Amino acid sequence: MYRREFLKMAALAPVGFRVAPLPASIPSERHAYLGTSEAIHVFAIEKEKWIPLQEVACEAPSCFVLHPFVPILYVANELQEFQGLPCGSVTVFAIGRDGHLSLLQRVRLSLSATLPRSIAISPDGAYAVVSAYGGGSYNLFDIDRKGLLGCIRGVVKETGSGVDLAQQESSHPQHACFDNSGHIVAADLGTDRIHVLSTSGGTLNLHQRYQMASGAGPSTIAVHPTGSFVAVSNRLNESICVYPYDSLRGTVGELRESLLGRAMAFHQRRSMLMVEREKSLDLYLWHGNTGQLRLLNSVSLPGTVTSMVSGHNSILLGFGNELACMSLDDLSLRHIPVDLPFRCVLRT
Amino acid sequence: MTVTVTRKDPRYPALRRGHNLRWPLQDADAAQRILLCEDAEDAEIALQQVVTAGLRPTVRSGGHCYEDFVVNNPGGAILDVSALSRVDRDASNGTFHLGSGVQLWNGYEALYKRYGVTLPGGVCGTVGAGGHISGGGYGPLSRLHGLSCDWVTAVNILTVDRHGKVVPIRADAQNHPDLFRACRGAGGASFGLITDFEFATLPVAPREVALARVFFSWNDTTVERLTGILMTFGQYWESRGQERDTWGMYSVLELSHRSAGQFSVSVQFCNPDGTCRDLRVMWEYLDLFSQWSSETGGSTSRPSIKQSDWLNACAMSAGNAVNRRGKYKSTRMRRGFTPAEAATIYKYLTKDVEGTSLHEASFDAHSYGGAVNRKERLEQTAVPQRDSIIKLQPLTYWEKPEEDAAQTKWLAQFYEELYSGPNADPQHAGTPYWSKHYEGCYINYPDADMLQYNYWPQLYYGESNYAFLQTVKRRYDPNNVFHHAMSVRP
Repeated sequence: MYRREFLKMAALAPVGFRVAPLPASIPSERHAYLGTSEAIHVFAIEKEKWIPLQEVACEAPSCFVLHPFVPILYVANELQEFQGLPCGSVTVFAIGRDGHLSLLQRVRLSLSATLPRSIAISPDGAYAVVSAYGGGSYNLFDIDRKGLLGCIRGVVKETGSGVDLAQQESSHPQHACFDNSGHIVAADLGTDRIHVLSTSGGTLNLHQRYQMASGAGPSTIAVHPTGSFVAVSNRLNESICVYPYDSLRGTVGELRESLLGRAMAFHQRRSMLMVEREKSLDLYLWHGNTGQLRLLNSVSLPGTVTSMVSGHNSILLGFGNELACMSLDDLSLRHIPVDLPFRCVLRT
Repeated sequence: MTVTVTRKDPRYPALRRGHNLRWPLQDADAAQRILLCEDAEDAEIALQQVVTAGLRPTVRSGGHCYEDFVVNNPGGAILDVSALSRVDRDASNGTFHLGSGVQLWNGYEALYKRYGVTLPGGVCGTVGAGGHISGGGYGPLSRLHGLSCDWVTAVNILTVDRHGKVVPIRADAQNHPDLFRACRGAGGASFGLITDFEFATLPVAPREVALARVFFSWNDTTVERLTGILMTFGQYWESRGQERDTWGMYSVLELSHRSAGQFSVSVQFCNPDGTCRDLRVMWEYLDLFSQWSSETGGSTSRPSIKQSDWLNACAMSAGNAVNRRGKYKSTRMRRGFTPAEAATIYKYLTKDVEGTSLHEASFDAHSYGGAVNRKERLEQTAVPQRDSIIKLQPLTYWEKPEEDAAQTKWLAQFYEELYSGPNADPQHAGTPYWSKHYEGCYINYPDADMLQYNYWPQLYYGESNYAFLQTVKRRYDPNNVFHHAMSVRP
């Protein structure tokens, strides 16, 4: 790295971004967590069979996220009200070696941060950003070394709307993720915007609003590991768009590539973007230097996908109340008979 | 030109809080910056900057909010409009203008000296007009002239549209009538930032008022004696106190905790014509209490009445600006006190709590009704409580943060038990929910404890009114930019 680049990086690095500790051992691909309207169901995975282990009360879980280094599960509670206040909450569980969950804490979000649907944990495990779909806002939390959430360090409250008055009457942040420089990129379905947020000054700041095509309805976002591109899945116009991205500066550039697709999931280790379209799953290799998407394979699906979660070597696909797991090695699709009306799922 | 105060500024510790020193509860809750706006144009620019930056704005005029609605704003910005303090009259049409940052005492003084008129208040001198008027606005002249919000004829307010753009609106009965009505009593900080109130006319200030106070000693106060005083107070305001010739009388039964040694009934009176020529109504009222007075020792001698000009009376009761830790509750009562309520009041006012002193705790009962209860105001304003005869304000003050839990618990238990007796509606036990006895609570005395009840909006905003207010909210604040724990929810 040239000195000039180093200085540029140092200047842009968010204050207080901690050096990542060594990863702790986390049970891998042996357990699954399934959220229903009032509980989390824990399963042990043995020879691809899901064996019920535990049922833990949890209100309206909408998203599961793991801490990168300690065995902690963060769950967004998609609520309009918590403790009488107009906000959602986040519940934090310790994950035992046997996969069992133990409640550690439940924290409320800021006022107006209702219906949270996404939690993003910084690569160093020091911060969590919660996207609140209902209130058009983002909350930044500290995370201590044990994985517990601290105070709300910052709130961004977005305004705006889109052309679809039924679904875009106001800002609806749907999903967010950290880049490798500490910025947060987020998809706002309500305003057709990509938001770039920063944690400079120890709080949350709105760094850039990138206006996408009117009526797009961005709902899922991913950053390429190189930090050079972002991909966005647009729910309303059913497209997948790739944009150049400068992770050092936290800026999104003009549209590079787009294709049809209803939903997407990104497998970071394989640089693979999986796109659901017309009852098929298209697997693309996402090039880090050009941003291009090269089709690797296309697999027929038995129905319309309602959720996609990337695992270590597989992808979990939800079809309403039905769940299936697709191997990314041989592309085989296996039905998982959980028989539960689930809202979110995670396999560890 | 807006002045921005950030954490590094030496003024920040003083400006990040309001009068209630309980808030912010922790440093992380505090606003990141305070923007001191000089005028309405400044406020518009500052609000746009805050919204564009994705920050949450909260608005402060006098800083008297009982709860943390303004100062609990992590990472956000407080827009301080205390400098929006115009008090003048448009020579072309005679309309009075009151900036939302006017402190009430300054308003009383300027309106009196320049124009001989007044808001129908007279107390709480450092309270800001923005919160006082938009939440209803009650004071010593309200029984004679109605609430402050009853007199408002237009509101100048900054709203934020669905695109995030700040839009100045002048709302009156013809233009944006729903927003206008909502701003007349549904509390501040739900619909926008009010910069200015207009009044086509205001009540003529009284020429003079008569003042008296009757003291009672706790030493010889039994539950029977306190019950007698409370029932006497309640029965008067339920019956005789609603007759037109009594509307110029304002009285507070200030039931201090026993550790304060005594309690009192205070009275301010003027005849409907603003004079003190005939004090028979006042004497009639005072005589009801003389049998229990400590000064008279139960004899028939009367307390002294002092007369004062209106401005001096205002100055005497303007209150001070001392900041304290406090907790407050409220009730609007349709009927006087019952023996069961009196017994609960006695129990808690004579109870000691370990680890703290309740000598600054008080159970204040204010005379109500009169002109406030003009039924036509139901449709014109957002104050639905137009049938009450007493307004209660149980409150307590203390000094040290470590006493917070004991003080707030005492008041919470007191209030809950008071409304769990024979009059309580089982579905709404613990609260003065709307019934033949009560009309809920007063939004200018907000109590976040009530959030535990899912019907808290109906308690404060009314049973049928709340749906209307939510419609206004969705139309004029579609992004819910203006919010706090007890604001109107979209």
